[in-house]
Amino acid sequence: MRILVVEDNRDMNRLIQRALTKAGYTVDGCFDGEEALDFLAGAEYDGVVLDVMMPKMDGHQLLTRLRASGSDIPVLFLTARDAVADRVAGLDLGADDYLVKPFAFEELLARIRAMTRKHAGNRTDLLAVGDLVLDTRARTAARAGRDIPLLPKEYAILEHLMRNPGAVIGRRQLEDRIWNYEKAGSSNNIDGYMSRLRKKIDGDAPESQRLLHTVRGVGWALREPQKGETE
Amino acid sequence: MRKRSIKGRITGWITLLVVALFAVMLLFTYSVSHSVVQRTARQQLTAAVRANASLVSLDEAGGLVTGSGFSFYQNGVTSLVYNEAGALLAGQLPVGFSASIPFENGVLRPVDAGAGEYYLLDLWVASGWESGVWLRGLLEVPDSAQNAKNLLLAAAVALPVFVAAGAAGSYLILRRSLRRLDHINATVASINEGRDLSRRIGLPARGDELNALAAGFDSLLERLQRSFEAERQFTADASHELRTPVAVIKSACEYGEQYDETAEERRETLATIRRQADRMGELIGQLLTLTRLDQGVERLDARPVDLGQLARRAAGEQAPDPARLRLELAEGVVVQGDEALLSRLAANLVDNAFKYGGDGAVTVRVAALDAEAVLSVADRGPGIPADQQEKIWRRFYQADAARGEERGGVGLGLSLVQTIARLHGGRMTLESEAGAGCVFTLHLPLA
Repeated sequence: MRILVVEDNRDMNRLIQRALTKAGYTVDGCFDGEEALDFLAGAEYDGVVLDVMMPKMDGHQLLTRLRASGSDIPVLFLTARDAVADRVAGLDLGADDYLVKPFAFEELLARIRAMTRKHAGNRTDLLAVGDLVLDTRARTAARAGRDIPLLPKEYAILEHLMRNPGAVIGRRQLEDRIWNYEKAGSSNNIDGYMSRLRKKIDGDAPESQRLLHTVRGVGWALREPQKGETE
Repeated sequence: MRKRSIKGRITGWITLLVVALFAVMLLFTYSVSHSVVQRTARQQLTAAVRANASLVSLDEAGGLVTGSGFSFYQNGVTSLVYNEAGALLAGQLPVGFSASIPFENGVLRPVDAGAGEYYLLDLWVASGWESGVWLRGLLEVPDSAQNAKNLLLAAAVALPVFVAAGAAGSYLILRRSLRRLDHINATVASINEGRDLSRRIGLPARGDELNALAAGFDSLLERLQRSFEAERQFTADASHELRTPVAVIKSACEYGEQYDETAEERRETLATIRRQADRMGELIGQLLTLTRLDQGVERLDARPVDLGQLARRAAGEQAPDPARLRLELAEGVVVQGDEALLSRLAANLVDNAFKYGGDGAVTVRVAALDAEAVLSVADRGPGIPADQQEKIWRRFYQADAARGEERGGVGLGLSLVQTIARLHGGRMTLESEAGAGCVFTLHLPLA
């Protein structure tokens, strides 16, 4: 999943980015509201971590703009202002959650999980397609009870596919989601990732039980096989 | 212990005054009435004798003739007739009158006649060429003692009434007039006890001494309240400013403890902590200096200081990019001041110019102008709009809404500069327009 961190204190921004990256997210960071609008227009994000006090355009203004333009992207406010009035204002403007500084990284990660989960319509941290189960908290995958070891990027790809079960995800879309601006160039390996994933998920399973499907010229999809369907 | 009341004291004095005046009045009345009585008596005597004199005469045979209307005793006046030899012809001496008094024509005099004092008036009534009679009038001198007794009696009755009325009246009048004083006292006492400095005494500005006193108090309270507010605001701002780097350090430590895996990552985390710690250090240092200056603890070590040389040193040390620095420093511009503080001032100005003054040249000028020494730092940056030019001198204020963190600014630099200028008996001025750069100038009296 791709997260945008908007925070004007460079050190804090960097720390949050590192923590999120460690937790398996793809992260971009920027330092004021105007920059954030540019970033959000340029790529698809699954969530935004947003500081309130920023130069040029503060968090509240940014959120108002976002929601006004129809975006329902999950937003978590981060701020030092802990007065009830401030919290209420932020939530009423359309934020999904509010975290007061200083905070524990664990809590930040949990809240991000919660808000993206809600956005995806899930109640728990588990995603399932067929007998393939993904634990988004532990970042593990298992099929028919058997653990499947995954590299971080593989996990990220699989998670995205599982969050959109049955949908065909194009190459471009996948690139946008899984790689941030720093590593944009390394998406050429996507085919390599996909073939490795297929081996890990479907392995030697017969066609009727394959979950990862390639739609030539369009992209990939993860779905339970229909009766009588062949690739 | 009962408080001494100014009303009680004034009332007491007024009452004493009333009693004294009363006594004086009494004395005056008594002496006046006394002389009036005496004079009336003498007039009476004179009138009676004169009246009788016109009614008495001698006939051809030498016999006494008294006309009708002549009275031997009237209005207390005893009249007697003597012949020219002094023998009593008519009339009767008052009881106890034993003196033998020679005749004097027309002279009214008091005589002591044994049993009492009398006024005596003789008149020679001539009859013919050689003979006549002596007419003598006697009137007992009125007794003043009785007078005095009556007066005292009246006074004894009147005095308490007067005293009571005076005391009560003065007390009531005082109480009314000084009600405002009680109000002032009560309000101030309650403000003292409580914590609400926003209360005021609030008397109308009508213009006598008590209103002036109340107005004076109110403006004092205003100043107190503002000063406390400023302090509270300052403390709040300072705490907030310190909390941010602390928060970052805490997060960095948490991150380091939980997530760092390689030495490279640890280095990065530690560098973050150091940066924030440096920032806190700078903030605290500036805060302390400001506080010490405010309290007057940091004593001004005033000596002759060459402003040009000082500026050269400070600018040279402070400028991160010497290529952008321009110096126009006149020689021999000397002021009386504290070299360390003035260096700090110059350094802060140069620092600001480089941080916020865009990318153009930064010009430092020192000159003597109109009996003043001036040190100015000019930049070609975005300038400061007119509506903010007042505010930038405030503590923690930064023209950009968030705290300009990346540039390392803390917002105290200019307030420090202004405090130092003020301490030296000088002032700071700013010329700027939005988009047209800034010129910060220090004006000091020449040594």
